Amino acid sequence: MRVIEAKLRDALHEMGEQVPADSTRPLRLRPGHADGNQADMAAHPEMASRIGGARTSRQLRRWLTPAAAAAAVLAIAVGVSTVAAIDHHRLPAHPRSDQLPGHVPPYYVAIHFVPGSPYPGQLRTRAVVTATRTGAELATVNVPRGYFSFVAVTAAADDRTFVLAAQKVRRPSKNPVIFSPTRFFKLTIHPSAAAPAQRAQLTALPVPALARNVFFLDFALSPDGSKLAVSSTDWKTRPQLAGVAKVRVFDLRTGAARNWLFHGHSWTRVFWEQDNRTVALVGSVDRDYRWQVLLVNTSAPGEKSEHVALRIASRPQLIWRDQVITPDGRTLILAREHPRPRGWPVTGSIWLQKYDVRTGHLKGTVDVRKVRLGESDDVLWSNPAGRVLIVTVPLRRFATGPGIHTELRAGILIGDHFTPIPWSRYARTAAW
Amino acid sequence: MHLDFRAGGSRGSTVVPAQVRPMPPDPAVVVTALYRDNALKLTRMAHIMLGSRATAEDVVHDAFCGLYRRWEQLESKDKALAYVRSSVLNGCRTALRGSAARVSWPAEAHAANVPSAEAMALMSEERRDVIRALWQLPERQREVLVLRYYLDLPDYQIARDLGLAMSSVRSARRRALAALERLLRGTA
Repeated sequence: MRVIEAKLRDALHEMGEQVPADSTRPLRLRPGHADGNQADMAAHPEMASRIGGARTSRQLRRWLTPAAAAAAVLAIAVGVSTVAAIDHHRLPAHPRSDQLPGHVPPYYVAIHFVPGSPYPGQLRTRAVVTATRTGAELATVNVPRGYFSFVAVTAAADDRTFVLAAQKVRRPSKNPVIFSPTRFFKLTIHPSAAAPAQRAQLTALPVPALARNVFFLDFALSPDGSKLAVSSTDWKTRPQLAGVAKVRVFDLRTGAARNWLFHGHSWTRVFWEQDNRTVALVGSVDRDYRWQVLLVNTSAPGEKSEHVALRIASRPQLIWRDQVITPDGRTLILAREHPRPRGWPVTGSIWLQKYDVRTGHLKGTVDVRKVRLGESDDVLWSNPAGRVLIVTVPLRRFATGPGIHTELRAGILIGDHFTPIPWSRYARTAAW
Repeated sequence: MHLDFRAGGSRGSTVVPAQVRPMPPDPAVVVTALYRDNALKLTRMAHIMLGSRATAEDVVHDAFCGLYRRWEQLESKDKALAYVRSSVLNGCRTALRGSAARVSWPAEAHAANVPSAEAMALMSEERRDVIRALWQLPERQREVLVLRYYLDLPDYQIARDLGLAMSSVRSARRRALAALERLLRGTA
């Protein structure tokens, strides 16, 4: 015997003997499970003879097994199709009551697709001021001259001030990485004005536009509407600054800007906390599966302004679809997709979960839905503590635009109770 | 333990009159006897595989309950012990994968697939290294080594328990021992 074999044998026996000889727990068998009906039928052949003439348990099994298998396959097929149907149509109808739960803001600005586009692959959009409860479209705002579409919208806490990001048309180029210039516009709404034209006022913000080939990632308007935080990645200078993310905070009163550069990061989401000073950034590090929540105090000088609140290691098979930091800065709401590439027609599931930003602990799972790949719950609004959410969930009934085969439905999510709100089939995103 | 339920029963073509035909043994009695004789050894094996005594006891208990439930479907009753052994190995795999799947946060990630600190603290330094190295081996190789060097099973029985060819068992054992030596040299 080789030395290694002897060593292994000794080690295994020593570890095995950690279980004391007298420690075996008594075996608890449930009575009557061993042979079930077959024993009854063997004891009482007259019972077996009633089923298709089979006289013994063995004969019975020969008939029953294929029949049970066929029934099981049928049940699974019916179940899968039912679940696939129910999952996307189980949402209740619009509420009959005049009040919506959760004290959500009464108006929102949604970005709607405009059917028909002169440029293949590029969708024209417009902004629509909408009443949350009734879905009435109070005003429609077209993209300013020189720009092609609104791509994102953010809101202050006063429910009157919004900022829209507009982009120009992408022109064909030899460079495969093309991003259009992005400019920011302030939208002030006056819902009680008599004429639709007076209900919305769009003005260009006194902040520089993002240049061509600067990849605009996300932006957020501070709750008091005085500052705008913009996250972007500079692709134009990629050979020199690969993977450099830039976060800019603009003071909309003075026009002053402050920049933060992050090497090897990509801040995909930006949020303001209620103090109007702290910006929470959510993103990945070094393009792997480590995610961070970084708090930046925009009033503090120098490097003391940054503070990593949370580090999360994810897994390559999980796709982070949406991340939201609640206004109180304490909760990360995360929509993660768990793909199942072979699981047609249901190809994955979305888990909407809440994590404590300070400890990283899971606070609760809000929703689990089976989806096709790429369909996801999005959180559009959260109350300060994250208890009341406005989310969009995918429906697959209509093709909304070229290449867009998902209609969204929006609703208020409190706990696991979903109350739908009126939502246009052309609306893709919105801000409250 | 050798189980021969034909003792006293009908053998060959001998016809035994119905009134003296012996009753088939009660499965509960047989499974309980089998458990009494083999539970300790199997629990210790599961403890080696899992590093957790409580989980090992659960796995073995569940394996015997499963044997009892499927007693009538067992083709050959004298293979009951092999059936239980396979069940225990399957249960260990399920437990390990379950513990790995439950872990999503980095702090717990290292605790998923290693023996408990308590289990390791009770062992001598050299043997602790051996167990640590064993745990770094692939699942299949680990199972082959435990069945061979803890339960002292011959290769053909290991092959039957794991559903492998004999040659696969031999090569897995050879590779596992080589890897173990390599790992231990690295530790030293």
